[in-house]
Amino acid sequence: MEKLSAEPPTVVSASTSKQPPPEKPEAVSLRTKIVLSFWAVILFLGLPTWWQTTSIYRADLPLQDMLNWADGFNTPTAIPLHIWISSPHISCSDAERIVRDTQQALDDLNEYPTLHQRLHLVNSRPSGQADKKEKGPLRTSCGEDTSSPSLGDPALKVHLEPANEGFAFELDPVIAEAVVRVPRNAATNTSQQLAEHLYGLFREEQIAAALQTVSLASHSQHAQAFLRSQPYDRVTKIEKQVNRAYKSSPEFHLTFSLFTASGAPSSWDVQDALKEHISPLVQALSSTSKFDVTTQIQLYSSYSPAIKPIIKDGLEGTFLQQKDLTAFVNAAEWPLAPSIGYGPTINFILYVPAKDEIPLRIDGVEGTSWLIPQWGGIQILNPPLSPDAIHGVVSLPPHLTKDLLRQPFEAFASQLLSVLGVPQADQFGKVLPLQLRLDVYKRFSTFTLYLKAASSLGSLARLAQRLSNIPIPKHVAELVDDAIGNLTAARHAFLESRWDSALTHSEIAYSDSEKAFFDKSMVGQVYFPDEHKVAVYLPLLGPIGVPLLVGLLRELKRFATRMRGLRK
Amino acid sequence: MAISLDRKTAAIYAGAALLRLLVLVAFPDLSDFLGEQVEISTPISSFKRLQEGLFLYQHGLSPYDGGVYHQAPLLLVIFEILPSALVFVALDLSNAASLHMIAEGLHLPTPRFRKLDGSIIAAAYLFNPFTILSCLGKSTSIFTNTAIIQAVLNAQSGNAFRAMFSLAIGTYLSMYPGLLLPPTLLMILKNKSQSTAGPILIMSYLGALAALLSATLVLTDGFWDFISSCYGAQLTVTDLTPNVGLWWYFFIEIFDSFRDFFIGVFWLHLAGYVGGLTLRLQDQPLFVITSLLGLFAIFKPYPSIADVSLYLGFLPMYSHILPLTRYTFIAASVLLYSTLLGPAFYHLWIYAGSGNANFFYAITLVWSLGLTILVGDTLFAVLRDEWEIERPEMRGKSVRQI
Repeated sequence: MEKLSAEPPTVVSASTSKQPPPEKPEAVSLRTKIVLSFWAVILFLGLPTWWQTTSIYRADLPLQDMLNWADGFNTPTAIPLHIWISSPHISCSDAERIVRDTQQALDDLNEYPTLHQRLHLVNSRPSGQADKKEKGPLRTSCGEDTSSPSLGDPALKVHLEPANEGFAFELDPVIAEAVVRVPRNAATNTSQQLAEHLYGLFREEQIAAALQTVSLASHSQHAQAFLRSQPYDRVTKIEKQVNRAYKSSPEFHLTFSLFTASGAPSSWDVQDALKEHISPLVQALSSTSKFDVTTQIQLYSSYSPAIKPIIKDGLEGTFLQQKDLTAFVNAAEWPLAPSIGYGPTINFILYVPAKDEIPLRIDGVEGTSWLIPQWGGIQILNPPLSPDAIHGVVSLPPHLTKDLLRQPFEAFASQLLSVLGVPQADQFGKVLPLQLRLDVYKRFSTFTLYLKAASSLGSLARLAQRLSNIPIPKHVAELVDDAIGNLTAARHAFLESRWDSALTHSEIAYSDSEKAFFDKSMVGQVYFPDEHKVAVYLPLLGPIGVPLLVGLLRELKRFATRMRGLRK
Repeated sequence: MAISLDRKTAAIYAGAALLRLLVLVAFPDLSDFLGEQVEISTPISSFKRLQEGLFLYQHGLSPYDGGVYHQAPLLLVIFEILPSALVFVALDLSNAASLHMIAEGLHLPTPRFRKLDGSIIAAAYLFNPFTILSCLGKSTSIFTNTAIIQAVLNAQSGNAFRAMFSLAIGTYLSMYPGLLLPPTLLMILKNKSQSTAGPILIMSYLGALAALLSATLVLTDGFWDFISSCYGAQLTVTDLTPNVGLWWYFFIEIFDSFRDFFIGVFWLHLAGYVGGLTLRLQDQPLFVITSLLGLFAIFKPYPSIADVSLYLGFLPMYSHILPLTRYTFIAASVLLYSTLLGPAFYHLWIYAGSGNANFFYAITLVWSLGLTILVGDTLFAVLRDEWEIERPEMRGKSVRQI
């Protein structure tokens, strides 16, 4: 350190026989000045620099609000599920009685208020027509006006029809409507049956919502009580379904890949197949999430080398063992691109085995496709072998036609639905109308995003409370405010059963809260506790600091002795 | 003060000029090669980057657009008009002549001091391999060096305002010469023939600096581009290209959150020496400047051998303290050793791939250590010299610091 030599060399001769002469007063005052000049730099420039560069900006976050959202205090307790009932051919009083009794029965069956069905008797005709043509007081007074804002979006439209035979509940195959035949000699029995049907129709959705509430919000006694009241095996079945599905997200990427073990086939009619099987689904789901579709072909891409297919005597081709299916994906070599942009990627893989393995099947199972939870679907295609035109050697077709792709893409379509968590059938295994299924998916998605956004806010609040040394930039605070605003809007939409608006707000709240939680400038210092700072400061500043400190102490000591001398 | 032109002096200057021009004209490739060596050209003194800026400037664009050029726009004007080879050779010769004049006019109040032969000092500067290499490598640090030497020359000969203006040019070109303001002021004020008050000089320095900065407005449109690109690059050390200094490796490794703080620490470390040294060596302001130049060559953000050549240009004026130094042999061998090994290790790391960054960084540490020994040792010798004046009976006795 040159500084040391810069200090005045108070020097003694090597022959220690005589004492060094006393320092001159000028030398002493010069030394004081020098020490002070170093300390002036430290105090007047160093300290402000230190303060300026290491102070942590922490924007104010509404911590308690955020925690309240995460704890579920602000989650609407009752999210009504409106069911419109119209009864053009039944007298008004009868219809009103049926609706009232059914509602009564529904309330008796189930007390859990989230996604609880609310029946509304509605005027079956559009209000404009009713005013113009039919002036009869009987009809206009019967039921609520469908355009009334308090009704929200209907989850199901039920038409009551008088019938001579017994009670019947018939769902439309496509749209979310049902026709209920009510016997003329109506008894309370009718209402009871109707209530049970409706309850059964939405029961799984309600269980799934309750499961999400339990897993994402901390105040969930109602949901827990409701789950306990339900049969255990049903709850676990739905839990499995929920876990198998991809986490809800405002955006998904679908990647369809053709992997072939050899050089053929090297092309496929993927556009036609997509148009036929996937596009309608994507179209229908587009009101819930945004979907990007990409495709790729990879030649000479065999499955994971760890897998050894077995050969069975008497059966042609090779067999994959069931335990190997989960390890089938060759993660090291298959270029299954990580998510591009925002949102997760769902993979669909069409695998064409090498010629000598054809047909490749799964041991003990009929089909050749399977689903990997939260990842996507795989399908093995064994194309028909055809003799080569020139040599006559049996070989794989160079091109996969639309017809060959039909069956795999049908499988992909159903896999897409189950990977997304769109329910397939009701509790009795009866396939539900598509619109109803998509609506269920949309509602579930909305609810999940809403809960997740709230939960992220809570995590962020806890993080900010626990780690007092992480910076909180201004834009994070803005994102949090935005997310809370959207959550509030979504909550109102829930209460009014306006699902589209709830979805929009939940999506914004979700992406804002995720952005805020994963903000790059915050996580940098999460793993940098205070004691590590000592390890940064000390070795770097210690060597400079010690001589400076010793110099200062010496000067102070000298000053103190002089003051004492003066006082005497 | 004029230089007496005897045959020896003429031979030195002519020889140096011939050597430089010969290499620049006959081996232009060598000049390009040297210009790419990290020891010679840094992001703030590279001639290649200057040409990039010049190209943009000549085509009517802001020279700072590419994010490559970090030097003052005044240089662009100079190189737009004059051929570069001549500029560098002429500056080197003028630096030598200025050092020559400083040496001739130097009188130190110590019995050891003998009247210096200016032409020897000039020769020591002109034939110093570091000077030759940085001239051939066209390091634009030479402009700053010229400004500093001019400031010292004018301060010594009593031209206070010219000294302040020169220092302002140096500050404008590369900032750090501003730290030489206190010793330069001291030098001017110690001059008996000078009667201007200190505050007026400081005002004139600031005025000159402001004038130079506002000249930028005439040259380029983007004044803030210039500030952020020229001074911002030095203040925040954005370009971490390896060089012989200590900053680049440290700021590659430091945690991001501490980066700003340690940039502050490094700069304050550089500035911290000014006050102490100026106070302690009040009687020898030239030696304060010399030692500070040595420290800058070690601790500034983008040092190169051009900075060392400036320090070694001033140092021979203190050859009378040579008997009092203790470690000159070690310092000299360490410098020689790292000069030879530095390029070799850089080659191993970047081109051969058989070494890593630590090889080169280690050798720059050794280089800095050698310079530190040299600075510390000469400082010790000067202080010892002072002490011997005070107590003549102690001459030749060994001392120890307490």
